[in-house]
Amino acid sequence: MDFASIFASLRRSALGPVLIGLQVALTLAILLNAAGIVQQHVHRMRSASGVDEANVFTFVNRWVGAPSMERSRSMVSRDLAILRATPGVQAAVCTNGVPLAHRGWGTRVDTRPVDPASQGSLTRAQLYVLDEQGLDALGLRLQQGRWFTTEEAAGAGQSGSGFAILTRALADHLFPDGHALGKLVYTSPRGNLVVGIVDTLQASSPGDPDVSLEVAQYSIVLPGKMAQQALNNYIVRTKPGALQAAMMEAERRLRAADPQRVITEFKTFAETRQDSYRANRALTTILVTVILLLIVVTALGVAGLASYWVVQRQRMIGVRRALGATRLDILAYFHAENLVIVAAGVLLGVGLAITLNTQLVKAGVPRIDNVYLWGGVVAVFLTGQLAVLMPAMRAARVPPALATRSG
Amino acid sequence: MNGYFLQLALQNLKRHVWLTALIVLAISLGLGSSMTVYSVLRAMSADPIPWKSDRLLTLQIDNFGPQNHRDGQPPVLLSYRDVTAFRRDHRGMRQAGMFEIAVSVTTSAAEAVPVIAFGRATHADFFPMFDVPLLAGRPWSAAEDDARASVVVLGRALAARLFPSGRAVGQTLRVEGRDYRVVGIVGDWEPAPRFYDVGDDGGGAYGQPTSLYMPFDTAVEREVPTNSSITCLTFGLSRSAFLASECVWAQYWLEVASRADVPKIREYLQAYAAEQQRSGRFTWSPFTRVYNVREWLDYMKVAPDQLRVATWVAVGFLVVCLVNAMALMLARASRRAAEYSLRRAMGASRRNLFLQGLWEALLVGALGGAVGLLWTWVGLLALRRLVPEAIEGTTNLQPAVVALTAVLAVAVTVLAGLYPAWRASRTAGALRLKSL
Repeated sequence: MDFASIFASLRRSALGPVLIGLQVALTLAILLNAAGIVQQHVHRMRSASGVDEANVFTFVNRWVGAPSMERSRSMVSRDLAILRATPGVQAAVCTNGVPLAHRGWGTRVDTRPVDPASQGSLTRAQLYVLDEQGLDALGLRLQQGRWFTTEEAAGAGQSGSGFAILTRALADHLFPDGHALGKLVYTSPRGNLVVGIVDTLQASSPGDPDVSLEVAQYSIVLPGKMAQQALNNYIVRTKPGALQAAMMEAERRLRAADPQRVITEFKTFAETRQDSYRANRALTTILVTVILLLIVVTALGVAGLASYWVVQRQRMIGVRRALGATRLDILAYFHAENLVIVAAGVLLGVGLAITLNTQLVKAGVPRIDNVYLWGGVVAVFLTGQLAVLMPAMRAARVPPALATRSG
Repeated sequence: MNGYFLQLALQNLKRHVWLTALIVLAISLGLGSSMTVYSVLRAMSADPIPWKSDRLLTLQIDNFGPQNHRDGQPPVLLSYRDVTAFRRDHRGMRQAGMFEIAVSVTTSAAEAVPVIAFGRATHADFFPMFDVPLLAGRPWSAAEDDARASVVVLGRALAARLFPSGRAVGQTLRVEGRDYRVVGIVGDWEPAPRFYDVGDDGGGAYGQPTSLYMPFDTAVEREVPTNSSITCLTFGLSRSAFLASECVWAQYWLEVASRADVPKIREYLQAYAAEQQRSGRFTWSPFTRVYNVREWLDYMKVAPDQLRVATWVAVGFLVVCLVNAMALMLARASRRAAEYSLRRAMGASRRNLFLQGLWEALLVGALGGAVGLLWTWVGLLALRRLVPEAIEGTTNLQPAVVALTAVLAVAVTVLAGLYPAWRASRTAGALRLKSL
């Protein structure tokens, strides 16, 4: 290809190509940074909760008139008995929080006794209190060790009965050597023996962009029969396919046993997931829309300007054709010209993207990785080539006879 | 003369309809997407109580110790003992402790199925301090605060739901199984964002409006269920130990007479913390924070950083559209070089050609702005389906955004049209005419 003549003609009418190059550069800079944010959120939204989501439903139960602690305990046991006897129900627990549901407790965890006065920062983790049915009710996957026994669950309750189960992520964080089982972990001055490790059990707000996805996997489970006076969270797992029927029947039975209760947040886990990530979904939709529009506008701009150039240079094309240039030559000429302009834009754009990125990293935008960088560059080149295709084909159809005409 | 320019501009627009449509499309898409996102950001960072936001203060004190800082800041909420102490010391013009409650409510008719009301336990000053308008009745008094009276103030919607027949003031209500007298009804009061509700994980900045208010100490004494997040260093405390503990779950707001009093409150809080250190309660040096409403909303990130980034992405897109429009206008102008030459030859001055170019840009800007507003409206409509109900209030088309769109549309296109118009005005008459 005769690049010399391309440069010569670009120099003659410089501003148009410069503007297109600038536009390509800005497009690439925005594209690369925005795509990183989208990818980060999609990664969060796709992360597994650890719960058997297809077969679990949850709800919040409130009593009327603040019953005593003892009465609350007995009512929770009665409700659990009702739920566990409902046809289609596999297991049920009353707990202090629900993964993804924005309801739960946080705690500090360490490998040494937790002393409030000492210095240094501690690991924060989600705290779940679950009884012997917890593993089955959430459908968690036990990776190592065992779950709590009935005796352990009936023990001290909230303060911890000396046993704990960790998620793999938390276990590896606290014990980098990989041997957490049989060690002691502390959420208070008293130690808890790690008896089991579950694959995954996410925290209550894994979509929160201020908390890394890694930290959202840090959960510790302590054994106990959870019962609170004000409100209680129930998690129920049904046999496959029985979810809808079991939900209706469970609610009917609970209300029959005590009509003076208020049940809220009565949702399948799929709904909980849907609601949990709404803010993430809104943001990614906004960004993806802007990215797509950006590409469309840039493509239209390239196409618009190219078709104008074709009209402007009709005589030049005619002369070239008359002097023996084939249609393919003309097509190649316009594509090569686009390649030169876009390449200059890409060069500037990559520099701009990286400069922008180093600033934006402080605001939580991820670093641009190489795959995205190359993906973005290829996308921009392809967009440019596609956009110029139509005008170039029109140019190729210019008859050589045009050279002889004036105007 | 301007009428003539406009007429010419319209004619040209028709002649180059595709190129013009492309320019209008680019500008309108840029405006539409940036205004959609900006509109939400603007609503979320609005000042909910502008006439006194710099005189309303909320306090924070580090009662957890350096080891338990999150991001190096003291706990967001306060312990019951500190709230009690602040109220006793009475340093503001008005002040109120508060926490979110979730209570079951029925009318005294025994069979009624209870509803859950999200409410606020607070002190009497809450109403005058936040300028809460009362539709009927009155707020409770400081004396009723101290007497732990069984009184409530209802939100308008809840009052209408519980007492459909009208007059709610003076009626009796069962809240968590106890009788309360309704003393007042709050009218339309919807601060957005709900600044007093962002700290305690209760209703949140845009959640369900507060529908029931009761005296702070009444709620504490009767163990009315709190809906605030409770943060403790130790679990499993008895109620009395819980109230005496360092567990944090309440907020404290106060109003000062003028901005000049803010440093005094800072000094007071610092001195209070120093006193706690002397008495041995804290083994660390005083660490306190005083925020006014705007600082508080900033600190609590009511408008998330991610939304700011999204706004910048959209503004970047607008810049791309501007560059795009400029390139296309230039193309349109060059294509008409012959026409310009002819007009120059016929006696049009450079100024005339320049003004003509600007008029065309203005016309394109007006079109772009109008279509851009349409996109903004569509964008907000689409966003309403996506965002949590909690922030639905932020997806309305605000008059200020409409005005900004119009101004931006004109500014952007005139800016983009400036150079092409100047170039057109430099066309030499005779030279181009020769090639015609």
